[in-house]
Amino acid sequence: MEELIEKLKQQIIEVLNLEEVTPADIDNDAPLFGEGLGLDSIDALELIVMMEKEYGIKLKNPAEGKEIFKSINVMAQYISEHRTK
Amino acid sequence: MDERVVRVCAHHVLTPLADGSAENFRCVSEGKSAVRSHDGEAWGLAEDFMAGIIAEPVEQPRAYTMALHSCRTAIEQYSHPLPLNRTQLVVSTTKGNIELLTPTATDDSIRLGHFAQQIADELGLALPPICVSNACTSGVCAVVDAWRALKTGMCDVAIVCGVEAQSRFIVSGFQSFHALSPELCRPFSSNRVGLNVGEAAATLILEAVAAEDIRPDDWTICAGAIRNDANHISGPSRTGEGSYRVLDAVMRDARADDLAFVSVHGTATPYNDEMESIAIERAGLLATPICSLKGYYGHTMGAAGVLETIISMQAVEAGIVPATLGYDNQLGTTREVSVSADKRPTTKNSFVKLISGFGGVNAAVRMEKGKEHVAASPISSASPVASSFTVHITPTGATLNGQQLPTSLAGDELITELYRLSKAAYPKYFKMDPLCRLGFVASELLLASLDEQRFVARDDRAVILASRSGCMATDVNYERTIVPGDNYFPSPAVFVYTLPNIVTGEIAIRNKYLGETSMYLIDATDAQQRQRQLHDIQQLAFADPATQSLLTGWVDYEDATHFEASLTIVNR
Repeated sequence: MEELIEKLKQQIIEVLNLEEVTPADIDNDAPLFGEGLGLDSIDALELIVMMEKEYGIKLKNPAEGKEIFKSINVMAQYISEHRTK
Repeated sequence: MDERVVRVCAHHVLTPLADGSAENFRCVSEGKSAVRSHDGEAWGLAEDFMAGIIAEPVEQPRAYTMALHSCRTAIEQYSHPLPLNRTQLVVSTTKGNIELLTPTATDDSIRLGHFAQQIADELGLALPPICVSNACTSGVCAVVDAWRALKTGMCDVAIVCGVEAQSRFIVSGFQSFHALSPELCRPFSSNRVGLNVGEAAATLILEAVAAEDIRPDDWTICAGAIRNDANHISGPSRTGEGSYRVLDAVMRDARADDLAFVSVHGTATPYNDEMESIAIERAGLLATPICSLKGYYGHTMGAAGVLETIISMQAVEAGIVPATLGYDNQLGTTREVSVSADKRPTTKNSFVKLISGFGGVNAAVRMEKGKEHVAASPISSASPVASSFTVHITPTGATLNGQQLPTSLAGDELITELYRLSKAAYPKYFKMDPLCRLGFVASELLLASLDEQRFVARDDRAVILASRSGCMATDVNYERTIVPGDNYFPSPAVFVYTLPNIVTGEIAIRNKYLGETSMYLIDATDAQQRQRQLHDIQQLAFADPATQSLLTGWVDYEDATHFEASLTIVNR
């Protein structure tokens, strides 16, 4: 899980162009949206694409993202349970 | 002539439902919809989709064929020979000939300015065309620009052509946004889930005449406005800010009681319709009937503003408020707007066409049949006065107010070096596409050099930019995300930047500019010609009496070794 969390942080930084953020800046339990990283609705859609591209997880309803993107820990947990690649 | 009034002389509409304005209106009155299910696989897409697509074969490039057909058919109905030296073509489209794009090759006809120039050449028009690309508001913006050009004497006749052909490029992008409804869209309904896309070409021929020459059955344009939300590049303002402001502007000299209806945008996405209901309430128009035409045609993007204006005119002539096809009689907005699944009778002679789009832009136009209020038209003419504040960026360096800036890098790295030099501290910069980065950095450097308070909401400054390549570099980047096969992953974050006006929205958001924002595509390679056309569009912007100052100029990004930004402040 540690490994997945680290990889996930790298991927998020790259996919969302968080140029001035380092993996150490992302708290495992902090919400990804709202305050903090300053992510918006387009970022959420882009994370959905990333989940499909990198982990083979297809969300039918983007609203599901709300729960999954609660924090890095929640996201990593979800991915480890649902990944197909 | 003392007071130039703008009247409609002819119009034509080409849609999947019919070829011709009257034929189209008949289909709308009968409740016919062009929206059908389409096979995703046949289009090279991951999923099936609902859209209004012309079933008959159309010669490629389809947008060009459709636009030319519509312009020519409208011109045939114009009762005089066109004054070729005094006729202004105004083209509105979001993606023009995008179907010609491949991941490795671009075609000059993809440049929207070139697309418009080809149509003007084919029609034999001497004036360089105005091509406005303000996302989904483009059609109404084109009507507003034509109205201004005619009112201020820039031309005597205007041909306004809105066109959009559907393509894999556009549909995949909306799919990546999860914005499409799997069924016929349900505007304003409680169970609405998204929009349907559509395609159309629609043309209005307008002319300027003296007020006394207006006849009782003439349609005149009474008012028009364009405003930015200064909120988000793809989501509407939660206060309906820009939509409210354009409604307020076009209703300033009018009474709500005189309106037959407001022809709203009504895309049937959860946010759009909610936002419009808020704007309508704020504008005091809750009692005025509203209608959305998206259930008949889908969202025809660059064509929507012109198409829906022409259908609305015919509805008023027929004495009806069109039914909102797809509305299920369960109002799904927090404000009690007057929407109906059935057509309703009206005796009123005017309407407002309202529209909004990505980049935070909103536009409205008010039209009236008859000669009752022809004199009331808030428009001003001003000669733009250039300030001495300028910024100029090329791939090898930059100057600010005549001073060379201390930089050492080149190309894309130079743009980021300038961003750091500007001390903007705006992380969103790194999410922007190259065109937006270039325009954003240029505006930051320029605005920081002015002696004025920044980041305070203001509506007196417009952002008026022009470009030759538009967002072509990003179009290619997006196309690479939709290569058929295992690597087909349409990127919403790239797709949103495939609209040339996003750069105007980014600047408006950063600076809280609630005024007009517009992006024009100019084909000129010659610097003098480019300057003349820029001057013309700046004059058009000043026709809005609310606009006192422009952040304006040239922003063009072809690739990392060919780009240029040249911005200035121009005051009334």
